[in-house]
Amino acid sequence: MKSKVYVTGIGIVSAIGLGKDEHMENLWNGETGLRSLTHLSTVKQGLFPAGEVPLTDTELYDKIQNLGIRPDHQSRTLLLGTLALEEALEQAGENVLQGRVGFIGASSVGGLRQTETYYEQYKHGGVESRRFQTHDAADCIEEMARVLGIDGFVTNINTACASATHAIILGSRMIRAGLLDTVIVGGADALTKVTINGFDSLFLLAKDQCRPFDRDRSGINLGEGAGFLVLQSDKSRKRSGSQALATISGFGVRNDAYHATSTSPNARGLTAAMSEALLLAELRPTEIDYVNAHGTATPNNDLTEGVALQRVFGERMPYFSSTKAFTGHTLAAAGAIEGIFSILALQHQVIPPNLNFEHPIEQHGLVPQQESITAKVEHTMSNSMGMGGYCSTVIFSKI
Amino acid sequence: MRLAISASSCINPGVFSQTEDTEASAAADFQVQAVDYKEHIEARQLRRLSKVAKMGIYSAKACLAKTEKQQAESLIVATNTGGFSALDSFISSMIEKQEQNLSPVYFLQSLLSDVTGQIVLSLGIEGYTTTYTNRGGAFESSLLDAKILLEEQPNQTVLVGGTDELPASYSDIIRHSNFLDTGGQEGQASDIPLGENAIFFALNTQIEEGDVIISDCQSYLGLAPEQANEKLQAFLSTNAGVIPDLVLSGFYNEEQFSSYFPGLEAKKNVVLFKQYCGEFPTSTAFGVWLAEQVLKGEISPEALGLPETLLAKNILIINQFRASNFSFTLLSTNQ
Repeated sequence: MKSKVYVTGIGIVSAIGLGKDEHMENLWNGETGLRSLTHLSTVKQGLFPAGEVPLTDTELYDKIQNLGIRPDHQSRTLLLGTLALEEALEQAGENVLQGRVGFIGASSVGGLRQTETYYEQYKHGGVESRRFQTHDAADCIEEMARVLGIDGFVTNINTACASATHAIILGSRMIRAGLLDTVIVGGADALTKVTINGFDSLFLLAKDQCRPFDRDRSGINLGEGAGFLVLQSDKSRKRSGSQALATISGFGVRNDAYHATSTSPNARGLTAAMSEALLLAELRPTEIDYVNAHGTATPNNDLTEGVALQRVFGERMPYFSSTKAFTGHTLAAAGAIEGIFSILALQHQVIPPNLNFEHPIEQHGLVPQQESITAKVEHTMSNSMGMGGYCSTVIFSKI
Repeated sequence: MRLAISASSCINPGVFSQTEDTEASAAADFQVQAVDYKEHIEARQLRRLSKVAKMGIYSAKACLAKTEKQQAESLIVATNTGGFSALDSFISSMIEKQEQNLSPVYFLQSLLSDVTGQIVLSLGIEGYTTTYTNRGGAFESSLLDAKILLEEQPNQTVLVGGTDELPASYSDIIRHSNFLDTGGQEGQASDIPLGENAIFFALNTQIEEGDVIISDCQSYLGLAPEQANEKLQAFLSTNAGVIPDLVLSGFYNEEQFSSYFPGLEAKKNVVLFKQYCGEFPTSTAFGVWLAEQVLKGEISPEALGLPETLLAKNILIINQFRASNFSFTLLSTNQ
C-alpha cells in the first residue's frame, strides 16, 4: 500500500498578492495583476502588460531580512521563492522539517536577471564577476533550502513551463516510494529581459491583457512569482501535527513528442497525462469538479488544450478556467501557483474565474467559468505544458 | 537500487573517445570537436540545433542503437550548462541591438529544457520525460528518478543521460568568476581542465547474468570533509560492507581526496577520472561510463595506470563539484 500524499502547507507570491489570503481575495473579486512593467528595466516596458510582483528587490528583501540570505547569492527569483517557501513552512508547522526531508525546486531563469545586468563583467572580468554563481537555478534553490533549514535531498527540475508541476509530481512519487517523509515542492521565477525578448522574438506576447480560451486571444502575458507546497506522508503528518489541506491523489507525466514549441493538434501528450492521473487517482472523469487549465492564451495552446479536455471529459465538461489573466504566465512557477489555486478551490469550495473571455474558440466551442462562484468541489486537476513537449497533470482531492 | 545498463554511449574528446575525437585531448580543455553528427542527425535538422542538443541526440541514438529493441519509453536528462552558447549569443545581441530584432532560434536553444525536447523529437519518446539541472547533483537525481520510475513501471527502458557544453564564453566566465574555487581545500580548481560530454545509458531492471549494475547512488550537498567520510562509511555499510576494487575519484588531486577520505586511499586503487574528461557539472555520468567500460573489459586497468592483474568487480565513483555537491555511485557485475 503506497503512502497517501498530504499537502500540509502552501505559500504563494504573484502579481495578485503576497500570501494565500490576498490571492484568495483577488481571485474571488476578479482583480487582475496584469499591468505595465515598472520594476524590470527594458525598452519593452510599455509594450506588453505583465504580471509583475509590485515590490522592488529591496522591499522584497526587507520582508525576509531576518533569514540571513547571503548578499552574493541574492536574486529576485530567490527573494520571491523564499517568501513563498517561508509561508508554506509556517503553515505546516515548526515540527515539519524532521525525518527524511527533501526539497524539489523548479526555476527556469534562476539568477538570469543578474546575468543580463552584469553580463559584460561576467564575460570579461570585473567586480561583479563573482555574482555568476547566482546564474543557475541550483544556486537559488540551494540558498532557499539553506536559509530555511531544509537539510536533506535537494534537487531542481527544468521542464520549461511545466517545471513546478513536474516538481510536485516527483515529490509525490518520492513519498509514495517511501524515500522521503516530508518534501517541499514548487517553483520560482522572476521576470527577466531575456524572457520578455525571447517570447517576443517568437511572437508569443499579447499587447493587451491576455484572453485565455477566447476566439480572439492574441498571446501570453508573462508573469513572475513563486509557489511552494509542503507534502507529507500520513505518518510524517501525524508526527508533526500538521493539518492536511488536501491530498495529491493522482498525477501523470508524458511527452507530446510533436514539435519544440507547439502542441500536437489533438494534444496527445496532455490527454495521456490527464488520463494517467485519473487512472492513478481511481477517479472517473465525471468526478473532477474543476480543472485549472494551462491556458496560456496562445492560439495553439488554447485550441489544443481544449481538444484534450474534450477527449478526456467528453460532453460532461467540469468547470474549468485559466488563471493566467490574473498572474500572467509565471513559467517554471506556474504549476505550483496554479496547483495552489486548485487547492484553494477545494478549501473554499469556489471556482476561480477565467478573465477576459468573450467568444468561444470555433473548433471546440468550450466556455470557461467566467465568474467566481461557490460550488461543491471534491477533486481538482491542474495542467501544465512546457516547450520541449513536456506535459504534466496533478489531481488534488479534498480531505 | 539495482539498475542494469543494457547499453551506453559517450561522446567525449579524451583518450577513451568512441568517436574520432581523440586529438582534442591535447588541448587545455576537453571540447568535443570531431563528431560526424550526420551519422545520427539529418543535415536539415542539424542547422537548428545547439551543440548540447547535437551531442545529446547523437549520443542518445548511438546508445539505443546498441539495444535490442532500439527504443526507450522514458527519458531523463541531466544538464547544467546546456544551451549556454546560445544564451551568450542571445544576451550579447540583446545588449548590442537594444532588444530589437532578436533571433528566436538562440532563445529556444538557450533553454536548459531544450536538449531533452530535441532528443524526444528525434526518438519519438512519448512517456515520462524530465530534466534535472542542479549542477553536480543533476545526474545523480536522474539515476534516482530512473530507479523510482522502474519500480512504478517495470517493463521498460529508461534512457538516462548527462550532458554539458563548454563554449569559450562559458569557460571565460568560469575562470573570471572563480566559479569552481569555493574557498576551501579545493583551492587548485582554477588549474583543472574543463570539459563537455554527452553520455547516455539505457537502463532497465530485467537483470541478467554478466550485466553491469548500478547498485546504489547517493548524493549530498555541502559536506565538510569529516561528514563526507562518515557518509561514505554509511554508504559502504548499507551496501553490505562492500570493499570496492577500484575507486574513480572526481577530486582534482590525491591530497585533496585523502583530506576527505583518509585511510581509503592507501588500501584502494584510486584513479582521478577527471584527467580523462575534464570538469563539468554532470561528470558523474562519465565516471559511471568509465566504470562500466572497465567492468565489461572494454577498457583495461592498464589504460588507467593500474596493475594489469587488477580484476575489478566493484567500482565506486566518489565525485564532487565545487566541494558542494558530493556523490557516491557503486557499480558491479551481476553474477
